[in-house]
Amino acid sequence: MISTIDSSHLLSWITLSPLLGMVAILFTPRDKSDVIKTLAAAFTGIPLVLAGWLYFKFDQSQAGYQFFEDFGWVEAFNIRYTVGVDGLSAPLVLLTSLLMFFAVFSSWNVEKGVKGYFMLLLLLEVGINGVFVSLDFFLFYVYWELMLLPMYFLIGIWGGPRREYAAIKFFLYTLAGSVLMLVALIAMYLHSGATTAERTFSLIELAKRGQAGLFDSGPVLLGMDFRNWLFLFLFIGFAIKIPVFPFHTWLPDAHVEAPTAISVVLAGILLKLGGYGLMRVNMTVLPGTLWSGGAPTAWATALATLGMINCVYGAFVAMAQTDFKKLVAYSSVAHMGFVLLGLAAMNPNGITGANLQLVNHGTSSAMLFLLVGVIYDRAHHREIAKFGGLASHMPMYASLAFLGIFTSLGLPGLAGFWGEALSLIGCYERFPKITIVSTVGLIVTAAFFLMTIRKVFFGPKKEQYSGYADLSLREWACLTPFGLFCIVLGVAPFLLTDWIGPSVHALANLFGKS
Amino acid sequence: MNLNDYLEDLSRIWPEIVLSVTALLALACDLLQKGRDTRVTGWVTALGVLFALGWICRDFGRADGTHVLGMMVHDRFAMFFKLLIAAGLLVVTLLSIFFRGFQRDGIGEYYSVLAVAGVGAFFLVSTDNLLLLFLALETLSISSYALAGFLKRDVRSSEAALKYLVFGVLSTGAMLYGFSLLYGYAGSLHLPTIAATIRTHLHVGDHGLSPAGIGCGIAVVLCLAGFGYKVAAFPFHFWSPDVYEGAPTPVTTFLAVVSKIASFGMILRFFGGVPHEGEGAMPLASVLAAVAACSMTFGNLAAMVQQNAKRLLAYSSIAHSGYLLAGVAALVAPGVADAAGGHAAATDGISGGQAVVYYAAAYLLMNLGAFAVVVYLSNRFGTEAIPAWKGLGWKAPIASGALILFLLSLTGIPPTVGFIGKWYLLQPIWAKGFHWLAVVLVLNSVVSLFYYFRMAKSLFLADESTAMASARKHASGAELTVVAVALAIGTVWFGVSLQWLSDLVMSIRV
Repeated sequence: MISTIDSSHLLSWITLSPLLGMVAILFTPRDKSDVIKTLAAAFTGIPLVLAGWLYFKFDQSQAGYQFFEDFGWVEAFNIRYTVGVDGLSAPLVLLTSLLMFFAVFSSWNVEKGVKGYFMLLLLLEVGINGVFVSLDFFLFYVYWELMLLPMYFLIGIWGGPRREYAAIKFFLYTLAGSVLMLVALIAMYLHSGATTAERTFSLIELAKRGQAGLFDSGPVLLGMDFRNWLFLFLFIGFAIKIPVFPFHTWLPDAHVEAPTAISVVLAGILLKLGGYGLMRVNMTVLPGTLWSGGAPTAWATALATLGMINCVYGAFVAMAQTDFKKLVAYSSVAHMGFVLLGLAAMNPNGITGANLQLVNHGTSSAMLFLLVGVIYDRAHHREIAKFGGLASHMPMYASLAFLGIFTSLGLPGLAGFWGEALSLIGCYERFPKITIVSTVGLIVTAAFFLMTIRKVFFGPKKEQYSGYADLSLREWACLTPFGLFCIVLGVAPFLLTDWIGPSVHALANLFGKS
Repeated sequence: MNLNDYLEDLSRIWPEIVLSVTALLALACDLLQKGRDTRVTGWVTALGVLFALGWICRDFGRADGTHVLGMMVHDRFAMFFKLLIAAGLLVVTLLSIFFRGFQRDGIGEYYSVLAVAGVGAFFLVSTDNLLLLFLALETLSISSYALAGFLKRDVRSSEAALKYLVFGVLSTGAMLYGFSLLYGYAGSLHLPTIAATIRTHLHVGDHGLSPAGIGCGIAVVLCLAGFGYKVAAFPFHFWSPDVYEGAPTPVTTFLAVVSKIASFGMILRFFGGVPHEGEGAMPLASVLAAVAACSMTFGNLAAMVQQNAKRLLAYSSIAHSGYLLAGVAALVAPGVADAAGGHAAATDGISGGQAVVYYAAAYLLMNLGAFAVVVYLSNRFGTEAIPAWKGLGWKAPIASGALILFLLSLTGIPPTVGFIGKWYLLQPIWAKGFHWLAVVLVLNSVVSLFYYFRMAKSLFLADESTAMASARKHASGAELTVVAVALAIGTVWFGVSLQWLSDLVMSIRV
């Protein structure tokens, strides 16, 4: 499964180089804020360049892990530093590096505690990229928790009026999920062998043993099988991150209170970690919980049902919002529902759709939050009802906003379409009824986005917005790349599907050929 | 015993001797100073403790389990705990030197009492004789009562000392009664023999508990009352919040860290011989697990409403006693066979005792750090009330930043030593079949995040302009910052570079 050991340590460089940036910023005087920002841009630029390099060097014909590195960490417990990427994680590494780079630029106007802000941002990047590249569950967990602290402070210090509440809520929710994951992690480790030498944290090794049925045996607790307990604990951890209804309530608060760049990172990448975790751990290591005896189990149905609730409920709640940013936040809840639907389908179409949705939602929601940030910087409010006629004051802004919104509502020809379409197609093969109900979410999403366009950009001109300048150069530079991605990935989805294809098929093969 | 053997034995208790001499030196030094500058006495004590610490490190390899004077064991377990105690004592001494509250009063004898308490702690972790164990425990306790009341003009300090004394005497009485019963059942003062007696009598086989088992159970419960009091475990914790809040902060640090770690050393010695591999139930393990679960849950819930940093850390340390007791429960529990038979849930791997030892080391680093920052903030800004810390993080970024790391570690979030500690604790707990306890433990760490990060919220989430407290004149606190940063580096270092400490702990037999 593994090609060769990567001697250039490309993934380690991508993951850990922002740490060097942190040290550099630490020793920069507090008042030199331009130097600090440039350093932050440089040290998020390095992973971006390297991730681009990764894209071109990646062997798209292979399903296995590439750029593999493996070192002992704690020999006594078989904890290892193992990293590698396959088609599922590599696009997300590129997405992370890209978004973090632009997050630095969209934070250029930060003035309070500049030093701390950019150091935390760099630390956040280490955590996120680390999760995507880790192939050792212990390492995965360490990176997973490393993200919490920077996010807490980024929301809590630089956020909006209710930031203290939002920050601790985010922290508590995510920690609650991840400690259950920790229990599952320890249970898996102890169950993976009878002696310390046989036990392992390696996700590759755990997957091999799990697929061979290792976790089918084990203590039955409170009448539930061991593997189902593992699945439940892991699922809750990832579901909170996605976020799946009913664990989603932290998201609107965090998104609304976070500064623009942090909302971008939250929606663009942090939500993706949950979906990725479900694929990498739940589905790969415990395929028997979702698929047994040639049919989907109750877990798969539950996953699909939760996906449906996310799609429909998220869309309806978004429709009721009066705050532009909160609307975008709830639309993320709806969009992540499609990821769940695609994964619950467990067939190539569904899993491809889910992965496309992860990447595309990463770019489109990032763009939407940037767009909200642009108007908030000028108007200092986000009430949809108070806007009007912005299209005539800020034509360039409006056109980019239309692009972002149409991508988000899944207009064919733009990036968002493919993920939703493939997820639904895949899901229809397994759960037709659930899929049909989910499409209601699609319609509602289109409805509230179009209503927003009407209220914000059209309608009578309002005097107080007449003096507003159109996009500045920096805003242009931040928004256009995302706009390009929306179009390019919409026209040429094979750029992504070719990349993830082999890994998706390898994963789907665990659940019977379809 | 000839003279050479005697000298050989004495050479194995050098740290105890050094510390005793330090206590006398501190007393003499204070007489010479006539109470003018207590700092000099403090530095003399610090040097003595440092010397003992160095000797422990040097002597570590020689610890081979030899019996010393027929009452103590010179093994790695004892050496490791002495290492922790000496390191803790060193930091406490430094905190005392820089603590503002001490600089007004003449408190020369303080350092002498502190060193005597250290001697008690040393003997406590190295003895395997019930009688010496009791004497050591009382040396530690009586010194602690005195220490708690050292701010003579402060009513709260005196109240703390009295409260501590009254509760202490009561629980010591109960414990002593338990000791006497155990001596009756075992016919020996030797701890391993007593542990074997507990194992045979308290083991529930096919016929239930024997009458001797019931008597033995009562004796163990009485002992637990005494131990529970020393480590402030639920339901014997009532003294601790008031005492922790009222006592001078360095003394609080001593009680919460050094005294507690020494007591856990004693508990491990006491119960270390109990576990067995056979079938059958051990009610003692269930009792310990229940006490552990109550302790962590109660400590964490009660801490949520606290406004005073010291009081908050007091409740937090009740919770941490719960975590540690959970490890002891895992140690005492018999090995379980896996229901499905596939993989016999293994005794291989880290044992409950080793996990407790590791957690004790983690607890030392992070709690010393947290208290050091509390001393720093109260020195510089004159307040220990968390709401009054608003915005101070921006005024004292280094120490406050270090505090954030300690809080992360106390919560158990990587990459800190506290996480590794919890990680090791959870393994034997799960492996011994206490699945519910593992879940309770991790959920408790979520609860604890809420109140730990109220400190972070006060320090950093408020703007600097909202700060109410202003720095006192001539209060730089650079020395304390150095102490805090050093501990913070340790907290992160052992959270990332796991190999060395893990190997060391795994080489200890518990």
